[in-house]
Amino acid sequence: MANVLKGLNVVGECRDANLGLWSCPPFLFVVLGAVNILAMVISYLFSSRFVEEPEIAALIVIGVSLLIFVVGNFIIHGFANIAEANRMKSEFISIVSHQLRSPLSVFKWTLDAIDRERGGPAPIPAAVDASIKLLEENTEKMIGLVNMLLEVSRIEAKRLVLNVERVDLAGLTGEAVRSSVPYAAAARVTLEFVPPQRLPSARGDREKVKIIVQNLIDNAVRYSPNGGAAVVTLVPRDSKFVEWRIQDHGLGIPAADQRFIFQKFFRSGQAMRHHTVGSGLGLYIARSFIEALGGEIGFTSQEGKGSTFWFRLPTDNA
Amino acid sequence: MAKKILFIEDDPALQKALGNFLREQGYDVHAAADGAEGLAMAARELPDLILLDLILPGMHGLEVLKAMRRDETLQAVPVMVLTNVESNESIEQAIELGARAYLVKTSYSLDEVLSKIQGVLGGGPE
Repeated sequence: MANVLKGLNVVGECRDANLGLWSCPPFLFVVLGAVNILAMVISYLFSSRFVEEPEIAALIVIGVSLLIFVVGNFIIHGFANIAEANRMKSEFISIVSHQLRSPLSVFKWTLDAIDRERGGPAPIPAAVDASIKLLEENTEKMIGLVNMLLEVSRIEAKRLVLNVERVDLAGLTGEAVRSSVPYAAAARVTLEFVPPQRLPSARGDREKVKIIVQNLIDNAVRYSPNGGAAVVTLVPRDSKFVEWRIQDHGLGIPAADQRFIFQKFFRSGQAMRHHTVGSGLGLYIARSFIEALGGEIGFTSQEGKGSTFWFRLPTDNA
Repeated sequence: MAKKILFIEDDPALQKALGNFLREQGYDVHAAADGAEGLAMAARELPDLILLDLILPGMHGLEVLKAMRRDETLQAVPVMVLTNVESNESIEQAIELGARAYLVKTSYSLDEVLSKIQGVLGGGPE
């Protein structure tokens, strides 16, 4: 009995499938049924008044009802196909991501095991050592990429789970900057960050905020082909928000590309010419996270001069 | 007596990488390639710790965990889930079924896995 009732809970079913009511096939089916009944009643009232023979009246009722049923079914079928395609797309990303992770964990752990030989009796030749480092770096890069794909699939399936807590933005930024300094130096970018004297704590999801901060720092470094300084600042914003920003002296974003910058898989032509590697997912993920956390994200940029990316998170007043 | 670890994992390359590493650390590592074999081996060997993958041929890792929770002798054996599946449902289910930790393989280095194992076993291999 409970199962029957559950099957009848169309609204719940639509919610589970992440579909709006009016684009949800089971709901539309119920609506279609109601419309059909209404049409039958109206055509019956109409034909019983104006048509003499009851057979013809019945035929009209059946005809109208059949027409509505057939047309309605086509429409519902179309919606069902779209909904199914959407579901499969999210599922596909998640399956691909998990399947890709298996060989990646083999790479990672095997390289870890090789790494342990370093201190061993047989020294590793320098060239081999460099190759191992290269493999390690690229394995981590790919793991990062797969993790991003998974985040996107969660965002798309509206399955983003946030763990909202007090976030020490200054501490977290300090750590991210410190770990990025060597990589930035290799690109001749000097990363600067002066922790503010007094700053209210922010509210957010620490892991997600870390990803955003790392993404924005990586972008500033990556798209500064001529080096220069990239400056990170943190300031309170009208007591309700804490603002994080990074200013670089890099490529900048062409005006025509600016409105697409937060779109999934978008990469500016500028960026592609200078750096072929990049998923076009970092900023999309950053914006999805920030919006889910009740913050804001944006940027100002001038081609050839550089960009400033910023985000704001609500302050932790509790 | 070295502490006994049962590693239930269908990927031979991972069996080798983590299995050999743990043996080097002095653990007595037993390998099972699927869920049913893992369960049988757990009952026979009564390990100090079980490392359990989720996507396994035949019997899913969560089913293995469920079966272990129903078994009087296996109930007390700590289980660490070691997988690449990262969904909130499976994390919740595994923890509900009593898993002591849920580690995503690509997020942990061998050394980090080792320290988690030491954490659960309360010390080194002896």
